[in-house]
Amino acid sequence: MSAITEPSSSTDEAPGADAGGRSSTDRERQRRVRHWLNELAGPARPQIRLAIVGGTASAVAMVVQLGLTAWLVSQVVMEHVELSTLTPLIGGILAAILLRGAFQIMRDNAAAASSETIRQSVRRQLIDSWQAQGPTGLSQTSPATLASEWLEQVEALHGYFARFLPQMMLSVIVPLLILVVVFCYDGLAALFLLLSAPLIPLFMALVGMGAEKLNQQHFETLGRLSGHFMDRLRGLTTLQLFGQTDKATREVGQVTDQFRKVNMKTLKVAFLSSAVLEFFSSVAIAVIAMYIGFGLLGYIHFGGADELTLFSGLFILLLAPEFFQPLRLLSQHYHDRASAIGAADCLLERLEAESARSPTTPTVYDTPDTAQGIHLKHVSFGFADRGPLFADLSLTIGAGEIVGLEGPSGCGKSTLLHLIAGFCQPQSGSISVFGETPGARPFGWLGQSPFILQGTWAQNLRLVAPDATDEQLLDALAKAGLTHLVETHPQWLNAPVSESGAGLSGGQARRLALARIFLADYPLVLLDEPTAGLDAESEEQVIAALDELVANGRTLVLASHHPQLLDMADTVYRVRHGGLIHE
Amino acid sequence: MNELWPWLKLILQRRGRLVIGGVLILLTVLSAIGLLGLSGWFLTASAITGALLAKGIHAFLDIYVPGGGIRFFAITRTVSRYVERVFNHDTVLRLLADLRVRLFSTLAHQLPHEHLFARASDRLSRLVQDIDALDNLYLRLLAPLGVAILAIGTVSLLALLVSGQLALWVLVALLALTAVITLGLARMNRQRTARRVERLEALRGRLIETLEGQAELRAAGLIGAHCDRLLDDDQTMMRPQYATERSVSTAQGLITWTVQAVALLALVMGLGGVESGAVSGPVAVLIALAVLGLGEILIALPPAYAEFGGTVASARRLNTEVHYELMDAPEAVDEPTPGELEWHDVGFAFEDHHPLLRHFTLKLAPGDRVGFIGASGSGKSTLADLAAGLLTPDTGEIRCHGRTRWPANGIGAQRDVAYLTQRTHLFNGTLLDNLKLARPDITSGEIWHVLEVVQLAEAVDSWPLGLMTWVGEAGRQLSGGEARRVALARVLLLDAPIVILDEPFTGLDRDTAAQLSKALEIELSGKTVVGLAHDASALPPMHRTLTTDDWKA
Repeated sequence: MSAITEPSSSTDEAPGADAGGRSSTDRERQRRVRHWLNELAGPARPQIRLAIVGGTASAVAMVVQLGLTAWLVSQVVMEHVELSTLTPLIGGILAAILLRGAFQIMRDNAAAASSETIRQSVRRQLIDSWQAQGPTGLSQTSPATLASEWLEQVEALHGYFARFLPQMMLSVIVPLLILVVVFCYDGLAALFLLLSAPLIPLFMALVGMGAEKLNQQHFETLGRLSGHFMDRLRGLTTLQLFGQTDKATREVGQVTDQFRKVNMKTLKVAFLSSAVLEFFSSVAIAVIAMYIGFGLLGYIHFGGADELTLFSGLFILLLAPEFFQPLRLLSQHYHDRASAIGAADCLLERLEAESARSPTTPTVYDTPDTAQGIHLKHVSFGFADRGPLFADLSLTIGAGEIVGLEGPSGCGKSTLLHLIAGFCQPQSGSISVFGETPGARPFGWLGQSPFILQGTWAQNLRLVAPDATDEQLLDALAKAGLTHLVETHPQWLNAPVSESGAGLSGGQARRLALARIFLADYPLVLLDEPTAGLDAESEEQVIAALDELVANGRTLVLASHHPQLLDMADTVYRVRHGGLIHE
Repeated sequence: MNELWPWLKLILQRRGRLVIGGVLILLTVLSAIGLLGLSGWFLTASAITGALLAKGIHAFLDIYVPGGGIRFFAITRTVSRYVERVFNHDTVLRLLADLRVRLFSTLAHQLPHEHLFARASDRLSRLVQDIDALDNLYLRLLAPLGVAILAIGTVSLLALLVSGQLALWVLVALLALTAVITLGLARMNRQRTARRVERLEALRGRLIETLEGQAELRAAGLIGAHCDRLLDDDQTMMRPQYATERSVSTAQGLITWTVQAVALLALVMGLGGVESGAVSGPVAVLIALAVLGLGEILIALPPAYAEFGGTVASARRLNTEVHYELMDAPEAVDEPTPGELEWHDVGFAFEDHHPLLRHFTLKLAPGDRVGFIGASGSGKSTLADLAAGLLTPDTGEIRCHGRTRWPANGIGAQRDVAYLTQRTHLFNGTLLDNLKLARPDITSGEIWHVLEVVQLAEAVDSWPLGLMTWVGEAGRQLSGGEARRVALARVLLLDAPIVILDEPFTGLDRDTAAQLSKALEIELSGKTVVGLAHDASALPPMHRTLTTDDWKA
């Protein structure tokens, strides 16, 4: 029990499992996923061990209970001992039952608690990786997808650590324990069980293959089915407008039924593997019962048949189903393993994406030579999958200067802002912002999707300035041109921001973010396409609020296509071919 | 509990299958009980007979009947288990189809304004999860409970072989246990599991907020605090979940204690009978082993019933969100005037919000072309939704083709208004499938004509699969502008006398938009056209335009 890990000869490498022609890279990936899961198990080992100890102890108590029970029966039935003299024996059985249940509860509680720290640490890792990738790196993936990874996929790991891992160990330990006990009483009965012992890995493989296939097929089918169903639901308005709902309803029924037929074909085969397990355990019980029965009758004399008594015979019979029980449980927990491996695969990919994206060489910083303004010196930067973006770029922005960056999308103007913001680090060269490393001090940021708290106006504003007075909040709202939204509401600043139906409009959300910048009075403000995706009216309102911002003597760097915005700038650079062209 | 009734009724429509499935599970359980019990009986009888034979006393034991019985149960246990699993999974998939068809057809009869909202797709996925949760109702909740009760009944009947007292003990103790591990456990966890979905959705909302505002939070130096809060919230979520799991393991421990103790009781009472000569040794053993066999079916109950609160909550959400009332539409008496469209004294407000429209009246004669120009949120899409029957006015009425529009005849059957909504949906399928939605008997000539109009003919012709190109979410080969024009083509194919176009040129470059505008002018001649846009330049030529002030309350 030195390491609670899955044996490397696990089921998916069982002969025949790769008959489908899984490529070696896939297998390599599978191996890495399992390796990662094993690494994760680290902090949970004490709990998993506790679960295994509990399970084993419960099995020992069970063996004692069954042994005493068989003894009780043989004493009364065969030896005609008076039941009243056997009270201590009955008390012993009761005690064993109590212990058996208590250890079982201990096992299950330990298992349930085992993955809490694991899930937390994976969630922490994910958050760290999101931050390392920065807003640029994450822009490719929808927040809803990331959120479902963080919640559902991480949750899917639970069953693996809580149920599958302990049960895997128990399905080796408990049958061995029973085998040893049976061997003490009857060699041949033990041999029956022993014959099935080498079959156990085979069972596991069978169960595994069946369960894996079942899972894959089942989840794939359900996934496709749900895809079809969601597609029709999302397009329901279209169907209504085109008068096609009745037809579509019939179709939903037909498609589900079709999927059922296809799925059942595979399930019929997949269930066979567990039927085999069931068959062997039934046959083992039947064979042992017949063998012991005939032995007791004196019909047979081979093996240990002559020494058999009602006690030993009954004891062995009672133990026989328990020999197979852990395996049956394991096969029930198999889907936990399959879904955990699927989830781990997806999570690992997300965590590894970070290392692929972030710079490979360490950052080199010169000591900042001046505390004034922003200095970029010989900066080189590129994404691993897209080649270099900037090479040896130098730029100085004076304090209080307003700089505009323009250029076609994908030219790197957002990346330049991200470098100044410290969201990503240059591969070489140095950047200093007011004499410090980028991001060391809070600054203002306005992008296309501002952070809006599901709360009141006051909560949203005080986020950046917890001590601001109501007057200061109203002042900031006025500068951002939002006063009218608060004014008309009876709850004033304590009105929820999202009350206007579907929440704030894109323009309003951006003006709220601007109000925060006014409130916190940041000396540096970076604006990443602050008007992109807005309609004309909202665009004008945002520009009006920005005018107010410019008037206040802050250092401003803005990336935009919008001529009116670029007009505000003291200096405009065109970002092109990894460098800057002054305009 | 009442929440489940409508869904139970739906499931019970397949009661024949449910009963057969339940009988198969019962057969599996009884076979297991029979196998072990009969084996115990046989062993004890053999030992007694063997001992007599050894003493030279003449004794006889029929080994063929119990031997055959043991073999029989070994086979039935395997076979019935296999058949049960196959049969019941088939049933569950059938139930899934029933449930989904019910959800779909109910939503299809609902006025759709609910699913026009921004987070509609989240809401839909939750509905789908809720409906899928109900397919557990049979296989995890109903069937095992029914089988457990029947099996307990059977075993207590067997216990009559020992004494009526024992039978009563077995029946009472095990039924009480069953009640505790089902109803009791469900009650204990009701609040926790019912609230979980709401809590989870709240956490998901905050998570998405944080991700969207990552840049801003980071700039303001607040990201660390926010991430810590997320992790805290997550831990708060985990706690009740852990409590539920603990209650399940306690319940399972309780099952072990009770079943084993009752089995011991059965054995002791049986052995007491052996002493007094009322019961034979083999029977005493058989009854005790039969009681032991009940553990297997009972142990599956707690995990399912601990989640019962969640199942009820799913049903409750579905009951409140998925319902509709059909209003009886009066017989239309007026002669239809195709192409006429009127908002008559219309007032409208979204629930709990300021009214968007008040006493709005506008009448379009056949062939009129009116543009509504206003910013997003000004209510122009609402005007269009009202005209198309996707919304019903709070006051006043909509007259379409000269007849009052009733919500009941508005949905599902009407193709009298061709409406390009602001957000359109292409279904997973080929381009041709999507166009056929408008006209199932479409000819090749019609297709290529409409593709010419929307300026897509050349592009489609150049695609390797042409009309058979896969579009929709699974396809995603189309750019935003192309998808928009496919949707427009579909609308035009409907050939209705009234056409409503909401921002028809979204995602198109200037040149394409200009050409499309020209083509549309010809294509739409003679039709009543309502155009909605943020700017007059984003519409084909109109006869007159209205601005926000003309309609807004």
